[in-house]
Amino acid sequence: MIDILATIFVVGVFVNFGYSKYKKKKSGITGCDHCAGCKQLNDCVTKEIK
Amino acid sequence: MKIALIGNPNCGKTTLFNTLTNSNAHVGNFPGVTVEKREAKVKYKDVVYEIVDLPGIYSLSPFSQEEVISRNYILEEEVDVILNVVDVSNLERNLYLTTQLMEIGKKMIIALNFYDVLEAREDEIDIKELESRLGCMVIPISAKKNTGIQNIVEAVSKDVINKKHSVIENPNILQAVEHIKDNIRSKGNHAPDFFNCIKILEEDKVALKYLKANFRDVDTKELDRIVKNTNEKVNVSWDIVIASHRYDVIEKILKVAYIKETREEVTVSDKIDKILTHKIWALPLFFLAMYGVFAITFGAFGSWFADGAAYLLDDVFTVAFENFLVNNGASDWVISLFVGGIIPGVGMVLTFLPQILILFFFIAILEDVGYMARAAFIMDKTLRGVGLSGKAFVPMIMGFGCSVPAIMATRTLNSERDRRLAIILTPFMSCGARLPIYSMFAMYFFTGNETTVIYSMYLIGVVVALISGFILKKTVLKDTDSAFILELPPYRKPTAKNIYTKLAETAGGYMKKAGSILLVASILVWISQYFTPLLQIAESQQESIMGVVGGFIAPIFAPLGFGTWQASVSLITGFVAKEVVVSTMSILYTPESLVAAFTPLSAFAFMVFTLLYMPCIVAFSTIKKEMGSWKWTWFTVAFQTTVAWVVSFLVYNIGGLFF
Repeated sequence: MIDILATIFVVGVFVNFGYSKYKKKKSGITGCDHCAGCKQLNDCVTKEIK
Repeated sequence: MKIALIGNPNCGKTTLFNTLTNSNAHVGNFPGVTVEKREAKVKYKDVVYEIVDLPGIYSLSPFSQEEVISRNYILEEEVDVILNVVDVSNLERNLYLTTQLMEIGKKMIIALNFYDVLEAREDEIDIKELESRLGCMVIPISAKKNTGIQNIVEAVSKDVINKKHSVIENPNILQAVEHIKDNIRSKGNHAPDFFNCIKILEEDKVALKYLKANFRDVDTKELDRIVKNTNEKVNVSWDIVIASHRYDVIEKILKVAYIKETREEVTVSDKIDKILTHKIWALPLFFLAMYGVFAITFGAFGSWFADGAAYLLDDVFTVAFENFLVNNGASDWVISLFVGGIIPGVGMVLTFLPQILILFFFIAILEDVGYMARAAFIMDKTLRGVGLSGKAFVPMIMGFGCSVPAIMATRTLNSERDRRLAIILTPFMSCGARLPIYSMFAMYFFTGNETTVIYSMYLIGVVVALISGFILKKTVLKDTDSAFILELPPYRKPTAKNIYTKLAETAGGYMKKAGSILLVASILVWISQYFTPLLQIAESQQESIMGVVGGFIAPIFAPLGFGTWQASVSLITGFVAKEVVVSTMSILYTPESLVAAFTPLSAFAFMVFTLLYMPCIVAFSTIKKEMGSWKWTWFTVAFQTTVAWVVSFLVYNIGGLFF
């Protein structure tokens, strides 16, 4: 059982990582998304404040 | 409705943007923090407002890239309201841009920011008088203290137009403008707007291009002749005449609208600057201040947190998790994957988070106070010696956080040569991602001397950047020196909100990185050391994919003192992100085998190599984007890696003579 969960976890990690990269590419966001510093220059963070 | 925030650098635009939109974009007390526009939408009384924060500019004459971004945006986009943010502590210079913005002919509101500072000095501004002279609404605010913001929101939603379209009254200028209008009208066009006529008088190439593209039969040579002919009357070039006229008008306006409390002119900032920017003491004081920050971060105080985190990871979490897996009948590969791969790979990097936060806490304070702007000023002389202006130090300081925004921030540099040089040199500044590598090696090899060793990495980065700059200036990047104008902002009290925002961003980004790229990299590293190239379970790590690849390239690093396959392969995986060096080493080495594989000298040489060699993949793609050339991108990578090899070689071999 724990082996199956571990396998699902590993597959999930890769799928999630791949999907987040795909989503980022599709959104046209440029630059770095893994480092806090980049937010300084983020011209793409568009927030909807309701 | 689109609202564009525009003003001089460091006048508080981003703080106002954050307040208006409830965002948390980076704010720094030095000019040049925003080099691209950022946007957010806010809904107020059922109307959606699109707010755009533009890079700070001193005028609408485009000298550097961020000035071009702001100017093009204001002129070409459908901006409904220009929200001109003005720093009241430097009204004369800030209003210069205002007088130009008025001429664009769009609805404008002036936000007098830092009004609380002005009130604290017991000065006063006659708002009504200023409004009548400038012909638009003027609202005193403090973006930092959140005062006057509601008035801005109300003003934006009001349907009013500017009562004045220019402050220019000089008859010679007005006559010259009429000549230009007549000329263009004579070709069957309608007259161009006042703004563009003024720009033609200033011989602004962008305006000439605009006229050619939008008006029939515009002959730029003929316009040029008009500019030269009308110029005879004033005898100085039109741009100087117009600029000095603008300042004359501003002076007149301020004479009546600004009520100044009589007092000694030396401000507190001036007094502090006398010491902190002293021509002899400034540099030692700067290095001392930075050493102090490092001593707190990596000395007993910071180490206590790192040791505590390491204890929790190794002795509590790993043991408990291993027991959990064993008790639940997990297979060997699952135990190995978690206990030998994911937990050390991700966990080891996370244990250094407290120290990174301590370091960034102090750097955020220094930045917020305004000391980092002084650092650029202090470094100007040294940087000039190697052919860079002090302005290049701003992106370099940002490089201590992350190379990616730092490389993008080189856009503030005016000359292409300066930009290229700064892009090549900025990755030598030790970014935050390298800190876990230093911390890990300092912990194992330099107990008691952690501060000095880690601090030396930062110094080596700066020194290597200076020497490299000097070499590049004499060889591939020859050019004339460009002028350096950097404004020293007044010292300001750091705000808890700014510091918190920066730390939250750093911590959030770090955790996000740990949960994404580091997790993936750790699993991949584990797979590569668990299987052989033929995908069979490796009997020893040496036979694994990692072992084979590492063994192949290890001889390159042998002269540097770390020619093991583990160290070599860690450097390759570090290309994904620098922290992955630590993840890889934590998987491939046990603490005992790590200590056996390095001597303190070879450990130091390894740290130097990781400091200087090619940056991570995201920085690499940013370099490509900013350089706009593969040739220069590959040159940058090759240059950095060669420098890293040579310096590490020198460290290891010269150091070997003494240690």
